[in-house]
Amino acid sequence: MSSIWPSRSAETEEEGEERSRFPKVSWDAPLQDALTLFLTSVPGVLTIVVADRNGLPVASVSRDKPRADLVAVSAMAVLAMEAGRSVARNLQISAASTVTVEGGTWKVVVSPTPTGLANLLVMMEGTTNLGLLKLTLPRLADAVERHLETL
Amino acid sequence: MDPTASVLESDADEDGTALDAVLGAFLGAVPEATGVVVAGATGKPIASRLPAERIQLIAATAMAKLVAWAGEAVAANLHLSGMVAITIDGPSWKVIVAPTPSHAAAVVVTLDDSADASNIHIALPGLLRAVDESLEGLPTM
Repeated sequence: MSSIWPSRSAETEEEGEERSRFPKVSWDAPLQDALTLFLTSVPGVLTIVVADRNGLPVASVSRDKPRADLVAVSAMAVLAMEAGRSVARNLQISAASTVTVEGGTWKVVVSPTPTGLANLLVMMEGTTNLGLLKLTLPRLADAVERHLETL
Repeated sequence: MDPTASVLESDADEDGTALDAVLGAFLGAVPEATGVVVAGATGKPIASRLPAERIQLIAATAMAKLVAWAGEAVAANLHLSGMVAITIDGPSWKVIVAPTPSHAAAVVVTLDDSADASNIHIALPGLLRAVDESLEGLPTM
């Protein structure tokens, strides 16, 4: 398995004696930890992006070095989610919880956090445990929202 | 009366009948689907087997086209090719949106969450091809 690349540093930086006595932890370290735990726990997940309600990326992790324009990805993912909600509203069915974009060997799942503060995008390729994903995604959404509310 | 307009109306009616027959055959073959509607290139509904008012149908198909476009944009920005369909999930229902091979239209299928979506996914490529064939040679809608 290849290494995990966070979009922002979640590592404690240790540069010199002074810094090791007062370790500098980035503001989004707990968020990155939650995303990394999810990425490593669910087989087949390659990338997770957290986008705010306007579609701007807030945090992301990827098994490989990110090869995508995450600003465009998160903006379009939020647009897909909002349009999906609108389809449901117009058909007078209850609120949409996820939008899944499917290709032959890949899937991209977009899901809002409980209050709609942010949206999660999960990209999967190859063999994917969708059942495990559906079980764990709401927990990740809860964790992401809790972290964002503390900012 | 403009004779050309008359012919176009007649063609549109025949097209509607052909598409209605395609949708009816699909619903007959896949009982898991609770409804199906075809959105034209501009997002307007051109055939429907959904119990919804026309104004809501227009809004739903317009948004379904937007979902399909945004889904393809997400995939393209992730360097993923070959988007097949988009599934919108709710607590007790699913809506599947899939563009036809020519991208001249998109098909929206509704089903209950308890239904087996794999049967829909098996039947969907045939439905999409049939919709494309029904629309071939007709003006863009």
